[in-house]
Amino acid sequence: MQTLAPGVYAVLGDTGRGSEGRPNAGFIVTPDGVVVVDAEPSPAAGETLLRTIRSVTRRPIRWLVLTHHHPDHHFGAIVFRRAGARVIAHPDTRTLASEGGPDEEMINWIRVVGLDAMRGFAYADTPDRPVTGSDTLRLGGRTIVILAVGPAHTPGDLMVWLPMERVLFAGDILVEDGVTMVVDGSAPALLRALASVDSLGPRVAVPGHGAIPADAAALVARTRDYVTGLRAEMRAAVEQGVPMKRALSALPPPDENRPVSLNSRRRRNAVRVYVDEEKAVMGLSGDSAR
Amino acid sequence: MAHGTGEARIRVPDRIAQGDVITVNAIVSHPMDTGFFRTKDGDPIPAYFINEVIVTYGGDEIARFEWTSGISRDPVVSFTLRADREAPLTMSWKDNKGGVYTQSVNIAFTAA
Repeated sequence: MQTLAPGVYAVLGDTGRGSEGRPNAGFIVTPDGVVVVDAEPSPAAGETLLRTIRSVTRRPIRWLVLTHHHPDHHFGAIVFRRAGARVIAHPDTRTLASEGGPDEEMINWIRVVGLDAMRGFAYADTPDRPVTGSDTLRLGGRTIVILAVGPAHTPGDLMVWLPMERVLFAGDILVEDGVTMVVDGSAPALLRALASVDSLGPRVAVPGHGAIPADAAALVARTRDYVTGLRAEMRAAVEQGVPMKRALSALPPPDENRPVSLNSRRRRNAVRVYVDEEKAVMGLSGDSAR
Repeated sequence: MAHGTGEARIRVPDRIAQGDVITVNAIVSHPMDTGFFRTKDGDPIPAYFINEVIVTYGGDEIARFEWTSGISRDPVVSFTLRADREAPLTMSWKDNKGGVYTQSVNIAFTAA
């Protein structure tokens, strides 16, 4: 646990493992109750987060904000709902992980975190208070701004901004290594989300995974450089008629059974961006699935 | 529900001389649902995909593709063509629910 400002805490997951590590969470303590940001990957991990919060305050848990609907960030949500929290999230819960339906997503996730960690699981990511634009939560004298920035990492992306403390919980818009996944979202929207982070000018930006950067703006810049570079590369390949396989040949192969390792993220992002650029070059306006 | 289904584009080089072997790229907007996925409520999404693509050049059928649901949404197809005459190139995409989507480009020669 790390104190970011008086009453504002980050609960850090793993460092140095990129998106594969346990995600970060956070909480904000006010005289009128607690706001939790993200719920951990399982009910067991959610319980651990709740105990951490309880080591700081006995005040009631009022709200749980979910930065997006990937299982590693919301599968512990039921713990907070049972503790009395209402859920703030984007109503668009679609992700690739949920394409097979809720039961399949759950079964797949049991393989990741184990059955023990999943005891007591139920879906709890449907919002009581949906946010599709921006929303300001005022609680116990605190101002907490919720900003929808998807579909950047996912269609349901939210960021949590504390304007007085200048602390940002960026969700997976930011990852410690600067390689944000766009396969569930889109590269142009990610660039817009990064511009939003820049315009907020956070003193502290908590990424969805990994260490809090010493310089938030530098991580934003690194992420932007990666995405703009990838887009330019794929655009040039499409325009020159280079087939996807050859356009990707400079990238290391994805890691087997590790869908969000660094190599897998870079490869999967490149595929997605190539396809998007192909559509743009051909002049196709929409995406039939969104 | 999908929007823009059936919107199609065919891309050929800007400059074509008679006898060139050109690459034709074509895309159609289609969900290409496999039938294996479900909605967030757990309801199955029925299979809905393009299963046939027909290419004609000046009225002659020059290619026919049989597709399955194992192709990504908004599928792209590329093939080469010997541009031996000035004529329209027409493509038709047919799906398993009876949808037919057609797009044409004119193959015309530019002075070398």
